[in-house]
Amino acid sequence: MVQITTGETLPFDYLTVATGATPRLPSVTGQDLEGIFCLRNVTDAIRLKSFIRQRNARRAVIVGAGLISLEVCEAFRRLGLETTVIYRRDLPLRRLGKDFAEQIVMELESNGANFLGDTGLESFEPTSSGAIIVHTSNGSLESDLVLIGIGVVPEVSLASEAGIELGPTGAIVVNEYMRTNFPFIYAAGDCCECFHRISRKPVYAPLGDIANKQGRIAGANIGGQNVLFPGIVGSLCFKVFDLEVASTGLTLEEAEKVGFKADSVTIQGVSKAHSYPGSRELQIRLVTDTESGRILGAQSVGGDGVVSRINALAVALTGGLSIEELAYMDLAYAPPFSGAWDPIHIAAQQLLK
Amino acid sequence: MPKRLVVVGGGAGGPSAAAKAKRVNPDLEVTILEGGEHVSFSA
Repeated sequence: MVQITTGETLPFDYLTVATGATPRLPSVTGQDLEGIFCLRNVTDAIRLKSFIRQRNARRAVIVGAGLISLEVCEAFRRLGLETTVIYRRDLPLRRLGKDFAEQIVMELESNGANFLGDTGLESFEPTSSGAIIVHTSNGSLESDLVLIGIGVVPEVSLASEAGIELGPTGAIVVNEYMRTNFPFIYAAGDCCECFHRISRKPVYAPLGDIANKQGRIAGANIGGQNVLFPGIVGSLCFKVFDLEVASTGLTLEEAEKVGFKADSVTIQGVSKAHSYPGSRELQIRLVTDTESGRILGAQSVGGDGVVSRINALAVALTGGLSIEELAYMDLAYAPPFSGAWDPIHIAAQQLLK
Repeated sequence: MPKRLVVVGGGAGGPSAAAKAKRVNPDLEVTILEGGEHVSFSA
């Protein structure tokens, strides 16, 4: 039975928990001040945009440097806001490697945004003019608005009250059918864990594309089919100004941490044939298991063509392909799209040496 | 009596589950609950 806020109760034969995630919030003084926002849904976006317009905001501080924060940074700069990103670690997207993370910072700075690394949030203080002073471990900044983007936590309060099992990530445990520990209760999306096919571990990957797939599979099984969610390989991509960033599978550090004898190579390539107009530089890092020769992951940054490479490598990962197979893979080639040796080939060939 | 499915959450996963379940089994009685103003904005 589900009890709802109108006081009614709804009986069910099957239940799907799709309660999503909520923004992680810092616990600092002044975090409830007007002008401090999170961005999770359409309502948040409308509220944020109308605040900028009504207050004629000129300055913004973004707390955190994840995907949402960096995408919002670009949007704020396009609106002409003076924008500073503060982050408690030295560099954003640190798991992709220092070299790639530094390129992200360069991209922010060359588009007029400020990035303050190793900067912890301490508190917010209102000013008499309605602005906000953001106190940090690295000095204080005055701003018209603040966006908090320090990640999300699975919304599992209802589920855990009902006795639904939570996993080590804090999200709901589901099996391949998207079933919880109750056979008639399913879960899907940002409130639940998923199985990482490369690390063979449950992970928390709150992304909309995964939520859609999990939901469809839960629904198919509730409807009477017998469909398995195969898990994820950890693919993601985003764009910040003119830089494309994408990743799939494990980084070298992650691969070593889960026990692989891993090796990696980083190559500099170009998105189209060298001579072709609009060709941009990109880098690919390929991670391999030195014992089996299998690919374990790939990360890439660059001006163009990053996501198509990472998507091809996500397929290779899913299929368990080896570096040797990748090195001579029959990828589609024409000068507007790659060199005769694609950056994927170049990286794989390098690892074979 | 038809089987009843209740889906808690109208974001991406919830409506996907509701729609697929109803397609596979049209006799299913499906209810989606959402606390916010917008449904399926990211699906």
